[in-house]
Amino acid sequence: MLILSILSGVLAIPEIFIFVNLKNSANYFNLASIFIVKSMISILLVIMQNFILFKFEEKFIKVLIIRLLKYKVNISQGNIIKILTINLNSVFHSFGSGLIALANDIFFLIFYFIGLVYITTESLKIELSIKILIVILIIIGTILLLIYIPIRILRIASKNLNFGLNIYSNKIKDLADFITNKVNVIDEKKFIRSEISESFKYTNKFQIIQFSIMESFKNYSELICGFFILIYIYEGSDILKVIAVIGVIIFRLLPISIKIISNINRILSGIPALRQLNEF
Amino acid sequence: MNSNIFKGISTLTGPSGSGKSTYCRNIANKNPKNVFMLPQDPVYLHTSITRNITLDRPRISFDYFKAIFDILECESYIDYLTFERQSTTNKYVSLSGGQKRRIFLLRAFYKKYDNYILDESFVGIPNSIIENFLELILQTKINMLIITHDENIIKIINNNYIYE
Repeated sequence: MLILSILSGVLAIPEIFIFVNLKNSANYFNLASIFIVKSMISILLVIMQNFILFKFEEKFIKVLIIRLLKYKVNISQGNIIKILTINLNSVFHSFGSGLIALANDIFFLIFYFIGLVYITTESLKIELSIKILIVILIIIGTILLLIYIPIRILRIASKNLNFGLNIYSNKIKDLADFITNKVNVIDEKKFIRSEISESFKYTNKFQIIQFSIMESFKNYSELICGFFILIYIYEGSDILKVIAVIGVIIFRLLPISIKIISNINRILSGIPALRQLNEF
Repeated sequence: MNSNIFKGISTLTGPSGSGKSTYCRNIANKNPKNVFMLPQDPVYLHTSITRNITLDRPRISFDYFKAIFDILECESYIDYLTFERQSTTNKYVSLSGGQKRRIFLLRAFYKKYDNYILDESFVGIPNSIIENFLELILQTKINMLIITHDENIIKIINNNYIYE
């Protein structure tokens, strides 16, 4: 499994190779071929990793059932169901799967950095001056702003969404109380119906914003990354290339960094189930 | 009983669990446009006091609403002017049981219905207020059936029914 993860990380090298050679349009056919092969290998590696994980789960369940039947005579019915459903699901689908994804991402980052060290030391020769540093700082400031704006909007949307969800759940409670009374007061019914509809509309507005930003953040990063690639391809100065490389690094690696955080969360959420499973 | 139940003010009493509320609920649910029923435990909605009373209904349609408002002595927590201004604030205010009972009565009488059923709606309200309230209702032409175990209310009203 570790070898597969390392192999998946090694695929960062062809990606950097494609990026560095984007300037030469004569190579586009070869670059596109490399990209296709690289993507196909990535898919195959992910499929292989999941196949191994879930085949292991099958074997694991068999062993677990044998152990339960043999040694755990006094175990309660509820515990048996919990172990074989919720716990197993958390261990394999949160902890196991999250760990594999995390290993893949970390190896990708490692190899990406190895590739980038190569670019900056071999292909670009620049002399640093105060002027260049100021330009770089301005560009880094712009990049940070490009990251900050969607995150800020997301935070505001999430805050309002939580507020809206509280109101919505209160309105649902009103509806439940009204139904419990079993008295058909038309005015009350109309009021409660409209309140639920209004509060849901309010909540949904922020849900749409939150969902749209979260789901499109990867594409947003790729879009900005694309602009920096264009700057890199453009026949400009070395400073411009450095700026482009910084932009590409940040916006290519940003979604992966976010994925790493979510995978760490998945792993952490699976740990209690793993501990419980270990007790048996 | 069925034919006389909505002639002026009547009370309906009887042992707990005998089915008084169910009986009245059936009447109210069959005629929702003509009968307004306040159940034993109405919903104090998660919104402002004013909207709990108005339920966003356009304006006061019961001539005696102001008089009822004064009798129920609610001015310390509701400003009557908010009804005239059609206030739409949503600020939820927590109230005591007795205060909520008054809000529910104001909700019922914000709009004029021909018939009302009040199920234990005076619990927690002082007797002096109940007496004034019933006196006022007697002056109006509305019909009201009060489900109650309160001897004081039964004494004030002439038409009393026992449900068994």
